Amino acid sequence: MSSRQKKRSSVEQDVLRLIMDAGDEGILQSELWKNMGVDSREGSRAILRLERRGLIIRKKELHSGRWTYRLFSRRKYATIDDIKDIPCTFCDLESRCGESEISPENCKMMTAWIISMLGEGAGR
Amino acid sequence: MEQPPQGGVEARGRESPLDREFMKVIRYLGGEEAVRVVEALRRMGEATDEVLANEVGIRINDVRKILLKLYERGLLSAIRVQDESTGWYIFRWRAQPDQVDTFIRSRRRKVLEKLKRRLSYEESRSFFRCDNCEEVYMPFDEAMERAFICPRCGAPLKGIDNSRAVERIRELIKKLEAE
Repeated sequence: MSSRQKKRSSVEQDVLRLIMDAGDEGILQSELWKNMGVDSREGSRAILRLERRGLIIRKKELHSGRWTYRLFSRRKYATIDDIKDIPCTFCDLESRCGESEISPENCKMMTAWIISMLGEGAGR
Repeated sequence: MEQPPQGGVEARGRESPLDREFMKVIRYLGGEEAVRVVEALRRMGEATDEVLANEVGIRINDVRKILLKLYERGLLSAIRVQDESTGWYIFRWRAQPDQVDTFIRSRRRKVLEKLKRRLSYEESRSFFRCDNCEEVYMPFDEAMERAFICPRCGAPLKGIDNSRAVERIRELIKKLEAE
């Protein structure tokens, strides 16, 4: 990779990172330059490349009397929240699970978790 | 050559969603002590286990356990350097908040695989429990081997309906597969 290509890809990564950080609200293209150390010409090109690759969406928006774009990332950060209570998520034995005497079928932690989900009226 | 500390909370001036998720994961993995260690590490950019132990006031062995656990999961990096005065090799640790997204995605994939296995087990059998012993839960074949008597207290085992748990696992699988 040439040094120009490297620089280009690093600008793209920085831009994408900031757009991803903005989450569902997105970020105005003009705000993006304020948060970055790149000039708008270089940044605009990175944005167009990211859009062509289907990684971001641009939506036209009137801001302080000027037309600009609000940028949204298609890719969202993964969250731990909805898997944090599943025992396998932070299990220290996970790498051995299924390959040794420990398995998802006989795991005591998993069974305790299942029991906690049975709820009332489970016939006990 | 020495690398400057990577952008953490301070460098970017505000906490990004990735930073928040990183600290959440650290807390789940290692509790409050791990949070203290990693916060100190991020303030300092990089540090040895000894410096960290002094900084946060946690025993060095406990600091090492925390560092190793997080390193094995790719959330910290370590550089081996030779101590100028003693000639011994020491490790300089650094937090890698940017790796948390990869870590979570990998965990989600693995959790999905485990849930599918457990779902198939739960769906294909009927289960039995004991009225007195909370943790007793076994499939029909095992209950039959035990003559439907609780191995702990000797009370009769009763068939139960696991459909709520099965439904919940199905929902989780659906959600994880949609990504």
